[in-house]
Amino acid sequence: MYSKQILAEIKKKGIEIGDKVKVTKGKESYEGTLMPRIELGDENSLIVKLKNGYNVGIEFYKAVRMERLGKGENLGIIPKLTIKRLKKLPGVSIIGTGGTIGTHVDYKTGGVFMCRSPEEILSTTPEIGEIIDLKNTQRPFTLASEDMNYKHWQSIAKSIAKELNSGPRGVIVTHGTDILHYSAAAISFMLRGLSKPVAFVGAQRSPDRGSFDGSMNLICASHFAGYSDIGEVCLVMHGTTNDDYCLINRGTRVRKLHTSRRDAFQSVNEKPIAKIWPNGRMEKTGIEYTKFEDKKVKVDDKWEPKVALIKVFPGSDPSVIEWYLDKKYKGLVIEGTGLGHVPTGQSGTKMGDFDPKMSWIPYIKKAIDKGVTVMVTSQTIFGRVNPYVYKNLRLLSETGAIHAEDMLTETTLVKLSWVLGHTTKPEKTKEMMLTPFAREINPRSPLDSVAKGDGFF
Amino acid sequence: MIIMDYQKIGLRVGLEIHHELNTNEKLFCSCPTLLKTKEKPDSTIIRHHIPVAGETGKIDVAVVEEIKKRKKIIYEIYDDCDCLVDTDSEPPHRPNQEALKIALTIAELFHCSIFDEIQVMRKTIVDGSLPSGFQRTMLIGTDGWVETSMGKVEIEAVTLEEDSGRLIRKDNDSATFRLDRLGTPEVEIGTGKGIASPEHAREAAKAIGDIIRSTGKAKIREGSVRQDVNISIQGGDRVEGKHVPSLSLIPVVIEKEIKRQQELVKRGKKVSRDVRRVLPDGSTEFLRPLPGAARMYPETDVIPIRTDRLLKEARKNLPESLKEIIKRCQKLGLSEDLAKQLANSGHMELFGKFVKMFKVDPVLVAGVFVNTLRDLERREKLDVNQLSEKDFGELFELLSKGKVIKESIGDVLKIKLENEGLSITNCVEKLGLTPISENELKRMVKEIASKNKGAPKGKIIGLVMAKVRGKADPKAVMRIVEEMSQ
Ligand SMILES: [Zn+2]
Repeated sequence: MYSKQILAEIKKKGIEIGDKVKVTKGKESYEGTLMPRIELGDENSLIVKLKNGYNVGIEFYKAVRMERLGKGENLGIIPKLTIKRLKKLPGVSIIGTGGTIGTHVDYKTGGVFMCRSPEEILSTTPEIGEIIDLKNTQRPFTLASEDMNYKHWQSIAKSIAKELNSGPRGVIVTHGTDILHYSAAAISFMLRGLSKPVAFVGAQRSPDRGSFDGSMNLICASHFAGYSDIGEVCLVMHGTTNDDYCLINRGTRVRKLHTSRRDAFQSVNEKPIAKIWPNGRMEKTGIEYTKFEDKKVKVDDKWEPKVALIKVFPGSDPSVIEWYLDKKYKGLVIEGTGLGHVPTGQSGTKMGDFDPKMSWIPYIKKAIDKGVTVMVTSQTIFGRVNPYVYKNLRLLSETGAIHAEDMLTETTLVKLSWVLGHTTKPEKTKEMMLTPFAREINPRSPLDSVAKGDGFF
Repeated sequence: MIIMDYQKIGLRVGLEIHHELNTNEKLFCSCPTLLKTKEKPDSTIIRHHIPVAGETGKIDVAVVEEIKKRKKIIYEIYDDCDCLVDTDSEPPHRPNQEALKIALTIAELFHCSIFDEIQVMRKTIVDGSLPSGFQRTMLIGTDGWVETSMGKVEIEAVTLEEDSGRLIRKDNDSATFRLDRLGTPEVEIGTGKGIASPEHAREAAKAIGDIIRSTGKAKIREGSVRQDVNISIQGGDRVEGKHVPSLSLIPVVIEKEIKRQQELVKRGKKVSRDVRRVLPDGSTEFLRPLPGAARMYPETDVIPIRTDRLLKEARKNLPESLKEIIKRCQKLGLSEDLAKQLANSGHMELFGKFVKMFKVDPVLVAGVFVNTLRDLERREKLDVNQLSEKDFGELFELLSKGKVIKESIGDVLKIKLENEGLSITNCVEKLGLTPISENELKRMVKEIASKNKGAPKGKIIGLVMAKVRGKADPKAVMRIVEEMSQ
């Protein structure tokens, strides 16, 4: 945003953002279009797009003169594209929720806009119209994914169910990537009796550029939703840094493992269900999955929002748990170290340096005594936690904390909210937490369960 | 010979001179600015670009048909000079401050108006030469000029941009680009009015190049300078001659293009606005139609840059002019010609440093940077850009300590360039070039003289030299033989 001084000046001169202007400063003068000030930078500099296409900043002060030359071209037009429908193709609906895949950079201003409709999203990937028959498009909300919470998941779940129960054989959900794996896991629990493909799709690069990765993700997701015999919530995105194939990762077993690469999403503790190429070829890895059936899905989106994630670190202060107890939290996921450890102060010699007040055990015990469910996962990301190998683990397990097997931390967190939405009884909670509802737990640890797409970093 | 009245035919010539800058790191990441460091790339990446909506917001149906073919773009990756930023897998880092400072210095030397705030822009490039699909570029200054014998030539714009990848191969379904050069900072200087004739264009191009190189920060290597020339005459239209390989070809290209356009006009044909490839004889052939203004929009991943602080620094450290450099070098004993060549070699800074650091003859140091490197490049076809500051430092240190003699410099550098991984000291050892001591030399002369009693001095010198080639200074051999025969 421009400074007050600039805003006052342009108002006085009857200039609007987007008008052609002449700015004179001493002997120099520049003609061009007055641009909006986007985000950062010096709010006291006018941004002018010169005839040669460059935007430049001209510092504004009293002696700088500004003159309106006329109306400029329209700013902020999003490319429009009508998708042609081929009714003989399999019916698939699209639900747009925002994120990079759903943004549009206005080439004139450089401003980033959220697409107003899924059709606008598809303007980057018109070939989808030749893969599926786009039955319907919904846009329950438009958000960067980091701003989402369970209410948005409930609304996505309802939108998906509405679509699937009215004909289409699959749904594609476009979504920001930051918390995409939380959403995919949450929706996996909320959709009961799901037997049709639901593809979550995001993009790591913006759609304004030729290298937009979301385009191939959408194409692969269309093949998955339109043709595959898989009836689960899956995340379909790049398998490697190449634009060659996507992975079909199970929604409860996938995690964002890189900040910026195209292949940031990889399955953890199990292989992806399949690789899928933009021409529709699909190669399954052999792991089990729920088969496609044309039947109705039910939404079960009961939810307990008072659930938190706490990360243990060397010297971490366990009294943070009391804060959560004061706030009446019902469930805690503690992301421990290694096999699922927390500091206890009872592991060996020279314990004089360990302040007994820093042991997590009494706090966890207190939480459990108050009826709070405490789950333990590991910050190693890969692997299964174990309550028995070391003394510290046994101490933790004796408090009644539940080790979450080979469940991902993020999956454990959303599952705990979902389970606590259904029961408040500790025994029932424990039983449900350790029962797989969306293939989120595997009692076996397959040998090649460390995810390795060909492009794994 | 007909003398052409260029004003009468309405000749308009514009130059676009691209020059890479010699920063340690690339413009938007911390990779070094090296070229292909080994025979084969460490890996390749395959991508497909999508068509992006045009300036009007419409996607061309023909373009959609085109992309269904999914033409492959293959990128050759070198681990030591490419990173995630280069492969469009990570947002750009803060722009290289050194490059900004050099570009500001150059804009200042061209008397440009410099903006208070620079906005990095994305220029859409559709040929695949940049993995992102756009080139990051920033306008540093406008409305400058450069002095020539025929008056001022307008400098319309000084821009700083990231260099693109190098096209290696192209066929019907793929294009291969090498990503070593990608991301290297380069300035582009565009001229406006003021070029009066083809010969004047050459002079202006030289003057522009001289000023860029006077910063001592211009990169000198294969492909580091690229010159395009825009030509039009009355009744004709604008045609761009792409990549004129040398200054001397600039007037030839312009003359030939004038003739071509005149012929077309005479035959009543329209001159089409094209980009034409420049051939070695200065004639041109059709490459592609002249594109409309490239779509440009802000790079939202980089915050706008205020220029005041950097500009102040740049102004404080404006480089010496070529004249001043030559004068300074002459004081060190260099001939005017050698000084000029040194100034243009891009090694001025290293020269100054080593002359101060080691006790070596400045003429010798300049000779290495000018003649030895040129010989290695032209005769041996070696890529002398692989030689680093450290290599030169080691060489001049050994020279100053008498551990290698000046006659073997060329051989040492040749071995170094042919054997990746060897240090200069290793190369000297490998060649067995450690100089022979004075006593040892005397002993050898004595021995050879006694075996060839009565032989003329010249023959003795010849025999000794054959034995000690590269390890002893011929002058010393002559002196000792002379002394001993007395
Ligand atoms: Zn890099």
